Amino acid sequence: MIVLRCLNCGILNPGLAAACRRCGAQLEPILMGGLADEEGEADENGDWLERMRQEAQHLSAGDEPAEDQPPPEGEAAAAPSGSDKLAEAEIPDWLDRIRETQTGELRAKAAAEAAGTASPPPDQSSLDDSAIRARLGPALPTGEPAREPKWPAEPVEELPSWLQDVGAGPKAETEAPPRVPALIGQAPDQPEAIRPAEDLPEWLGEIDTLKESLEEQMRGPSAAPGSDLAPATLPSWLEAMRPVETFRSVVQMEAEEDQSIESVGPLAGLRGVLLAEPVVAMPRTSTVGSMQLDVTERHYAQAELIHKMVEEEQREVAAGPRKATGLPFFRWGIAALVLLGVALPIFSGAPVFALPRLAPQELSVLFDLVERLPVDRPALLVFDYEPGNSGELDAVAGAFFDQVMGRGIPLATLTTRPAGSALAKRALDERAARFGYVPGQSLVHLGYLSGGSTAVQLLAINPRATILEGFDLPEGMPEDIWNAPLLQGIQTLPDFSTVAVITSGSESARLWAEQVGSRMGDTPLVMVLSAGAEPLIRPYFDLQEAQPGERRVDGILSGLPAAASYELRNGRPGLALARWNPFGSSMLAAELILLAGAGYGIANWWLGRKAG
Amino acid sequence: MRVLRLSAIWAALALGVGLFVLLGYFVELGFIQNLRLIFLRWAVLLAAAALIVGLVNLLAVHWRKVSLTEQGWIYSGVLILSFTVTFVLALVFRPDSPAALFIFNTFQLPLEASLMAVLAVSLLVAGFRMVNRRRDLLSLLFVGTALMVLLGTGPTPGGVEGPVVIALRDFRAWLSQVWAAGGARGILLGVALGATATGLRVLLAADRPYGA
Amino acid sequence: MTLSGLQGLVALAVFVALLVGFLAANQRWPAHFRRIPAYEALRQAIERAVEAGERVHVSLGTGSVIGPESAPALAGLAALTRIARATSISDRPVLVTAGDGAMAILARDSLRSTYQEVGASELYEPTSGRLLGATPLSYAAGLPAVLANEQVSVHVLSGAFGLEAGLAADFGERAKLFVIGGTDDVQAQALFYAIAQHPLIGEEVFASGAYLDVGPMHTASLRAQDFIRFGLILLILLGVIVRTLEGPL
Repeated sequence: MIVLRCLNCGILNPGLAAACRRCGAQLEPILMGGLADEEGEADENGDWLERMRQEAQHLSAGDEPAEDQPPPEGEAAAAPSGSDKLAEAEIPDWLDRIRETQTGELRAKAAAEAAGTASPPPDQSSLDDSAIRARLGPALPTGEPAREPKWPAEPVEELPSWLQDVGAGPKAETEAPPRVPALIGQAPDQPEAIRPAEDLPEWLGEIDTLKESLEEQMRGPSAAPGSDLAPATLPSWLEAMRPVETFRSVVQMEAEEDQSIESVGPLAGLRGVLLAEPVVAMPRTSTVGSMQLDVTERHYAQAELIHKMVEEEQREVAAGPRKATGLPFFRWGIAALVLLGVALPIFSGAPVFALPRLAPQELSVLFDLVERLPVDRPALLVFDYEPGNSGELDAVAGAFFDQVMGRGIPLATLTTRPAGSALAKRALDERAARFGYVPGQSLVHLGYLSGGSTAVQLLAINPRATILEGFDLPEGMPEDIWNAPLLQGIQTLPDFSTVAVITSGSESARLWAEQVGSRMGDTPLVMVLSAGAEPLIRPYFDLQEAQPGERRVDGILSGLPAAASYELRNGRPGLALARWNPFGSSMLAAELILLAGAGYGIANWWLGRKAG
Repeated sequence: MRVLRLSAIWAALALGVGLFVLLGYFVELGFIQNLRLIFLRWAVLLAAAALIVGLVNLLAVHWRKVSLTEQGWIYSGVLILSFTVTFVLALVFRPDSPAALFIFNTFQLPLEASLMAVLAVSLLVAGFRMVNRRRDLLSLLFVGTALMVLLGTGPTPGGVEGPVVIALRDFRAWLSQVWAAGGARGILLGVALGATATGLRVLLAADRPYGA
Repeated sequence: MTLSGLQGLVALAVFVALLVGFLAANQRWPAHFRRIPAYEALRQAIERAVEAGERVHVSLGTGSVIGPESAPALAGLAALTRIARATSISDRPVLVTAGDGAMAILARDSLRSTYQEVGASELYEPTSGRLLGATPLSYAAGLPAVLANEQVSVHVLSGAFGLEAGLAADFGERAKLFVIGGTDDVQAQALFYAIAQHPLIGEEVFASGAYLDVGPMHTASLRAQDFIRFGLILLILLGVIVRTLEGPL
């Protein structure tokens, strides 16, 4: 007994039932191969009637039914196969009777024609192929679409009369049974049927033999004689125990002629080949029941929105082109104004700015301090600034150097910057010649002290262990620079007459004030500073009640105005006074620019507020 | 496991060295002071060695740019060339040789001075735009203070400094020595606390700039 | 031991005790810090840079490792680990430059260990931590090429700077980058305030770890800092009152 399981509700139904007895869903036998859709379609349209009609057409067209042909080897045993029986069971009795009547008439007619023509029997496989293809129509892949037919597929009667005459061969050819209607394109069944067997290569014959043996194997036990068994049917209680998820519909075995023929690959031409694609992967109705989704327009809109969002996230954001900065005309304008301010007094001598009348209070302290310095001990000058700051600091420190060198105090220089030694040489060499200093005797460059602030700490503790090599030393200097006559008496920093730090940064100045200032004893510590660093260092200078060991700065000099006052007091005009007017006019330009900027900003602000 | 143990060793080493150097600031015991000095000297040496490593890295970066002809590779080529020439000259003829001093006076000094000039222009541009960009009281105060300091610092056109100029100078001194210095001290106090906290985090191995 | 040495040790011990205490109390009493708009903007800027496939550049300044000027750079390194973690999903990992050889090495170590932690070791490149110049101004001079050629969109300045701070910030502003700058030098802070889009004033540069969620220790240390700061303010006020009263008396 054939049973069909409903794919919708899972209940078993009789094999002939067209619809499920519980849910009314249509029962579709699952067909193997790519024919399931077509077959299902055919079933929906009255499959069994259609099948009968087509079989009748085949027979009337001269196709010999399989059982009337000399059965190929191995096929005779499979003649009343189980699948055939299944197919027959689907057909009502009254229809079966009609079919038998028709088949008998057609067989008689065909036998009479065959006796008259004595044409060789067509190849069995070719016939089968033609029948199946005729039933399934052009949708069935042939497996050799690109192959040009070796013989023309057009009917012979379409040939021109002269060609028919020329090509008239034996009667067997001209009176060959009419070809199966070409439902499968250019399938060359007819010419192959009349092709002499000796034309076949040997290996192709082997394939045919192999094909037949494979066909036999593929039919399986159901095709074996005596295997007239119904497909395995489980008892209902056992069927109920099977897990639903692993349920596989009962596969209804098809009739021999309904089975598809493999069209590609090494098994091409074989019938009923198992599919590589498992049954579970084929589309079917859900076994766990379907759920009706009530989807509204709003849901569609939201789904669309989510889709867009996901797409947006996945979209790779390309690095956008940089905003074109363009030419900095505004910046150039500002630079031109400042340059004009600097250049105008140099080239035209105007405008002239008033010289500082009142010197700052700290200048007097420094001036007096330098005047009191002993001349038998060297002063240590620390060049702790970058070459970029030399424009300001060379001018500011110049007046201090002039006073110190004017008094003939021997000098030693030191730096914590890689380029500081060159700056020291540049700043002092010209003055040394002017004031009669002899390199190596009254002026020594101790060179670069590497290690930054840590090295300053070490220097404050033990200078001799920290500085090992000098810079630009003259010939005849001892190998150990501390053995030079100028430095022989120096053991610690307070042994110098003074330590003057020339720096542009407040951090650097603080470092010297805090690390060295507390170890200086009575030896003065002087700071020569950029104008910007002064506010942070002044508190060290203002520390009037310094306790012993407390950090302090004894003299301070900062900015060009103080340096100009210093030069005036020294009576030796230097760089500060030379740059006074350009300095004044560029400062004026800067003030005007800032004022204009503030006015522009306020006006813009006010206009913006007014406009709302 | 091995990595964990190694990182623990590095952390313990950093903690030990840091503690000795820190203690050296407060405790005047000879042993600690001597150890601190040794560590400081090592640090100076290591910094110099690190500078060499850094320069090699600098060269490697620019060499790669040149070899791959990346954008701006010509500048990298100029850098490698000037680096090599200066290095060889200073190594062969010493840094105080006329050749090395020529390079310094002709190239480095003017270039760095120009950069400072660029900074002056940049500051003026920023000052011009500040009120327009940040429309608040603080920016107005900033620009106003800068104007006052400039007026009090720079010379005035004319023959002799008048009382207004002297008043401006006193005002500038008051601003810088009272307000600016006071504010800066407060900032420095906060900076000192922040620096202490950062140092302590490194000492306690919470921050491991030497890698985990 | 001198009195000032003892005072220093006591102050340190108090600091450590507060740090540990706040660390332990972090769960029970979570910290609430004031808003620092610069850090909020930095977070957004980093996110934008990651989205746009652009690079974050961290500058550790021109200070040396072996001096007090290393503190802001160490704070910058802590922030760097967080930034590197955040940008590890980006096509262009973070780039670090320094003006000191040892600082460049530390930067590379920090990057390497951070990438290892997040399982993105392949992002580490030895050239991601660079020495840009051995002197402050040469460092600043090297910045425009880095900013222009490396597709940088976020320019973080956290380290010791001098006057070159103005140039470093200005090069970023001219390239229309997101510029945030913090340092320990007061002069450089003034330059950042004038030029940079997002200046960090005072000790804000040391708060980067706490504001960027580097770890609970950073939060605890910031709370300890604040606690001691308020203690110092009270002491200063007390000192002023006492000295003022001493005068007339």
